[in-house]
Amino acid sequence: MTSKNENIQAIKIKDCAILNIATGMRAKNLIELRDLLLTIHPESIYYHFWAKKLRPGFEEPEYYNDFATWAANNLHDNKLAERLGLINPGMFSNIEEIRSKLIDVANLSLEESKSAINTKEGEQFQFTRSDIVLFDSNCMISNPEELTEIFPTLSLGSIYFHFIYTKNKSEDISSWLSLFGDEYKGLIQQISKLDPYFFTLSEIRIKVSQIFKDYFKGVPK
Amino acid sequence: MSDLLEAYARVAGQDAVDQLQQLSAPMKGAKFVHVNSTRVGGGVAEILMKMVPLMNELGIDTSWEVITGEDKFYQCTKSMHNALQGDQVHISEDLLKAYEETNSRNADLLRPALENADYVIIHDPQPAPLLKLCPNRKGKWVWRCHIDASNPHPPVWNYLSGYVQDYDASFFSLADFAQQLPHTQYLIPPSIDPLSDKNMELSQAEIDSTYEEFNLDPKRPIMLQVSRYDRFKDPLGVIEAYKLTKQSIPEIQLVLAGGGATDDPEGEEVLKEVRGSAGKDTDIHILLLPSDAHKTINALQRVSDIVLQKSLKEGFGLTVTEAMWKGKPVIGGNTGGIRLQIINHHTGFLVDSPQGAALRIQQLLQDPEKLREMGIQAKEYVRENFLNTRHLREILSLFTALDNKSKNIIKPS
Repeated sequence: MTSKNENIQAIKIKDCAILNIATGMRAKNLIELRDLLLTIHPESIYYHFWAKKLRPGFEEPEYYNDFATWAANNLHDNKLAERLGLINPGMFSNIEEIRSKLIDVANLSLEESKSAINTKEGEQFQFTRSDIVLFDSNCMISNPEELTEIFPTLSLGSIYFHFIYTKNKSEDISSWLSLFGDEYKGLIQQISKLDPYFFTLSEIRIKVSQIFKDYFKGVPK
Repeated sequence: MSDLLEAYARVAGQDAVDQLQQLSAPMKGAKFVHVNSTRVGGGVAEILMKMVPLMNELGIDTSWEVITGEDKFYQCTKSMHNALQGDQVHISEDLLKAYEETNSRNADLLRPALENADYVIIHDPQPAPLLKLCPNRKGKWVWRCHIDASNPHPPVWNYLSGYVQDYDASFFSLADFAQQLPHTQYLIPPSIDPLSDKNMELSQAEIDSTYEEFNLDPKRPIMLQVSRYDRFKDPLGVIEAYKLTKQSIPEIQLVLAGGGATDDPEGEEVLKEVRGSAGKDTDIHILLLPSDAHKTINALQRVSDIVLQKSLKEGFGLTVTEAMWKGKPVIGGNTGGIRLQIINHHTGFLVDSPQGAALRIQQLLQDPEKLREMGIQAKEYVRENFLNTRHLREILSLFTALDNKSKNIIKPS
């Protein structure tokens, strides 16, 4: 394939999977959750917001992070679930800020309710983390327009890797597009409007595919 | 690519096979040994039966060893199994001695293969002491717990953990089952093999012959539970759910299809209780199938309208996933691995009582469209998450992680 710009290195599309790891930390009520949040490894917080998207699960989650889902399904506290669900990790500059916000929300809820309901056996919050397993996909893109055809065929692992895991790093699709200067500024802007927190990986694939399709439809060859 | 890998690519996708090839490339020629305690019957044997040939096909020199023992050994390991699932079982010194001696005897036979292996997986408590009995081992050893050990009886876990703690890592089906251990505990759910006799597509003639073979009426609804006759599988609860359903749907038929595992000494006793509960109801079919009746079980799952796995404790119900793979919604006990396997109200229902099971059976039989939709979703959920290509990918990733010691990022080559 000919490169759009010979000076810009083609992007190698990667695939990935996660390997889930138990931390052994578990909470049966909100007090325990709050206390464990104080010290839990940052990778575990990342997992419950982002890596969870690669875990077996149903495609239409009610909430987008595990803390909110647990509050709704196991503590049966919808108000808490809504507050936790509103913690959008993309709005924070690092995991420590997310940790603080989670603890603030837990404290607020504990102050209001003055008690912590225990979950049933088997419904504790299980703090988990993951390793990422990287694979070569044998797919190399040198011209962004190629993504119009290729994007709908990418695996969910590739979507996770190039849109979430490498966010703002060189293998992030938007970062790669920005290497072309202002040429794809409009495309980058449209992609940046899509907040991956609110979508499953399949939904991200559909939406970004459409962005590429619409964008290149209007660009003269 | 070999015919076998091509066959997996057709069902699971080319990506899945590519990933396995990338992960196995650095392990080509390495010696990999699985050890468990039965070659037939039960989920572990079924998984290994298909996983070992697949690993060999990928170039990993894989063997499967089985430890054997006498009655006292199996009594001890059955008690251990029950204790890990929460029963307050006391295991006598005499039985523990039989456990230790049996492992010691088996270690004498297996030591050369195990000490020479690059990778070893020891499945479940039965062979757990082998690691301590192989002091010159050179490879990575991992303990695999298939059991719902979320709430183990402490004295038994304390005893067992003395053997388990020295492994390089362990893996469990769910985070709830993980224990306090001084090594990394991975979470890897089991899987089914889509190409096995148990799960392959069958001809209509093969499916139809099942009605005649077991005297089932094809015009009337059939509910099925496939599992060993084991109290934790709650066959009596299934009969109760059937009886409750019979009151409003008198044409319902129940099939309980089970067999024995060579390492399960309690089966006969439970079977007797099941027969007693069924009484003279000719619509209850209690089948005792041989351990190789895979196609029969496949056909039974396909002729059934609803499949149950009403377990009270379950590490991971392979029969749940098998039935879902055949497009059947499953009504499962709200416990253990079944909670991961069934997405409640989407691919089946999770229930906490025979009454709950009866309610959902009646709901689905009243609403064939919902039954069909749930079945379609169930099959897709299995395709994406519970085929053995995913399972093997995670096992190979685990060993790659142990080999690499690279922080959080596992690169196969």
